[in-house]
Amino acid sequence: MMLRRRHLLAVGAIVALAGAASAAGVVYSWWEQPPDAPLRHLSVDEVAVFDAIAEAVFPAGGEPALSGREAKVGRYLDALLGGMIPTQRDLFRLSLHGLNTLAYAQAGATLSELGPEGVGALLRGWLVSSDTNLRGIAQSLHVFVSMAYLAHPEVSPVIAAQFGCGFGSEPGGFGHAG
Amino acid sequence: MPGDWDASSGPLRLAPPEAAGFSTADREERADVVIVGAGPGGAAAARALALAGASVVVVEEGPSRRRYERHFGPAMRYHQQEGGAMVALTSPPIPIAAGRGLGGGSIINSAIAWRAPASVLDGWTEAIGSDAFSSAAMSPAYDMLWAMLGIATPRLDIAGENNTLIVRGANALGYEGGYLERATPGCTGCGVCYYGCPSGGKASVDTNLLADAAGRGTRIQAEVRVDRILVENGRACGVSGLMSHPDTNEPGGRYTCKADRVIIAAGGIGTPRLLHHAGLADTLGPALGEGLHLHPGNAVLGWCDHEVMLWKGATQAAYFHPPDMHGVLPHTFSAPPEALLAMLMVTGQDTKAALSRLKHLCGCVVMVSDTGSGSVRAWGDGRARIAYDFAYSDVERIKTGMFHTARVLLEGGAREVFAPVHGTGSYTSAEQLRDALAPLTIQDFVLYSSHPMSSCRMGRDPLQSVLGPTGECHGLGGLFVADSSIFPTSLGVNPSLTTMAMATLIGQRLGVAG
Repeated sequence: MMLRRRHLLAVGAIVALAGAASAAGVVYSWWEQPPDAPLRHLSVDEVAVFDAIAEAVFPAGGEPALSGREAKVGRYLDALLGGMIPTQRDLFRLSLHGLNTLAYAQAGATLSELGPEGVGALLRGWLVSSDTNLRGIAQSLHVFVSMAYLAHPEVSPVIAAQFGCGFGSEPGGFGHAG
Repeated sequence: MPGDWDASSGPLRLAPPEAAGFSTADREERADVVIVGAGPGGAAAARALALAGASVVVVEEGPSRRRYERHFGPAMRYHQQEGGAMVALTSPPIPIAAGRGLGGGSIINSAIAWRAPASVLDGWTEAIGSDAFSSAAMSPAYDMLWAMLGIATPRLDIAGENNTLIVRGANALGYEGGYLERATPGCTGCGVCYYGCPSGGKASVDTNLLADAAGRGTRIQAEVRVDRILVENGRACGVSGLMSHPDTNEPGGRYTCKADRVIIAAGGIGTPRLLHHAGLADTLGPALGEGLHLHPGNAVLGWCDHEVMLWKGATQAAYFHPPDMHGVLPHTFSAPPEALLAMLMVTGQDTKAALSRLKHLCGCVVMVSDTGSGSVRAWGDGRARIAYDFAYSDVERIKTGMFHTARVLLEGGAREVFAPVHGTGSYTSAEQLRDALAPLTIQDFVLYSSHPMSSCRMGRDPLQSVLGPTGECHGLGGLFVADSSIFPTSLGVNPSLTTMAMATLIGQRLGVAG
């Protein structure tokens, strides 16, 4: 399929408001999944890409101490896709592959091959890119990754002091959606 | 008893109504009037018709039970159309929020209440060739809703510092502004209206108009995504759609409701999307889905030395009017931390440091009454296909509005201001932000919309409009529309109350006509 401008726009669109974040009940307990648990919608490689982005946005240390990879952001997003309709899901994955390919072109390695500093450098560049669509996709993935990280049961209580209404000690806030 | 309410009784606050939901079995029923959409338009029309003695069925795509989700993602998934992923495909893409469930947009909005400006209603009277929605005609409906929904400015103890900062700054500069009037008679100021009200303090229409209609016999069928308008002998005579599980989207049985009249009230995106998807484009004419207005907005934020916690206090409860500008309405906003982090564009340890600094952010969104417009169609899978073209003048008005907003933020207590706009930085004066914005184009902005409207507009000419002043479609008898999609032009203020008022009048007149 030839990628046209409208496809790029659509990709930007699908992630433009990461609120798209249609988690649905299936997201419940993503953090408890063992490493070899089967994935629902993403491949192992795709989860690795999300985890690499998450590690660059939320490295270990500081407050909260948990890192993005430790928060299993990739598994959250795998489950999250279950609440999307198939075409939305495809566009979401397409955006991920687009960024991974761009990383290879710009840095000589894919996102999951680069370390957190390398991914962080690329991401910072994309977030301020003069290309509207690239910028929009990067910002939206940032929101998705943050959404997953902040919903983790070890992170949520830490920031509940500020965001009392939206965060707390309930695991991920998906308790009654299971 | 629902019938006992009048304006002197104070706000009407009822338990959300019961609704039938997902089933794998087919279901069929009959009514005098079937209404698609349980939001502000559908609920208001349903109540007016029920008061007139009509048998009414309301069919809703969203869940049969409201649910307060404590996180951004699942909240949007559950109570927003298309999981919160509706976007106008322009450059930059504009995310569009639209609610679903019993209460529709009123579940996730900030309950801001404005009457339509008289100048706008005068223009509509001219456009439709009728005084059906003149200021005089609308006034009784506005008055009734104002009392029923308990509309008032927030109590000062729950107003929140972000709102107070804007009022303080606007007052100091001599700008007209203040706290916004909102339909939140029991508000506790927890600042997460867009998740669905956790306290029950918001007067979403499921707790008044829709509940009252249900108390008068209106039946509600939720979790049905309507895909067909039934037509017999050249008239609309019902609707049909597949039931859909609210969490998994699993398809269920087919639901059908036959009726003498059909009212579509699925919103500024949902209504034209449905009518296109149902194959009525040729029947309803070339204006179907055209003329979409969005009230696009862009944020301006500020860093304060003191704690603001813009997510605490009444959500979106302050505004001001920039001097000598029409159709630009800056008002406060609230946002979850993930959205605020994205605006800061931080990575690495900077992200975690930013988390602890978010409480010092203040912010205001600059909304423009757009002269640019777009269109709504349907993709093959039934999702909304939305296009939009910006008008140069709108972009320039947004920039000027952002300049005035920066002035207000700085005057109100911000130390420096910034905007999530490509090519800009942080500034200690509004003039610096104005100069940075001057050479930029719309592609540099990050825009958002929650006010889609005018996409099935009312008018005289069937080639230029979809329906006439009764709300009945030019091209198909028995088919009515009663939501913000019928606005002949951009409204310029938050549309929920005007939607309810117009739908009330449409319902009342339809009820009288029998």
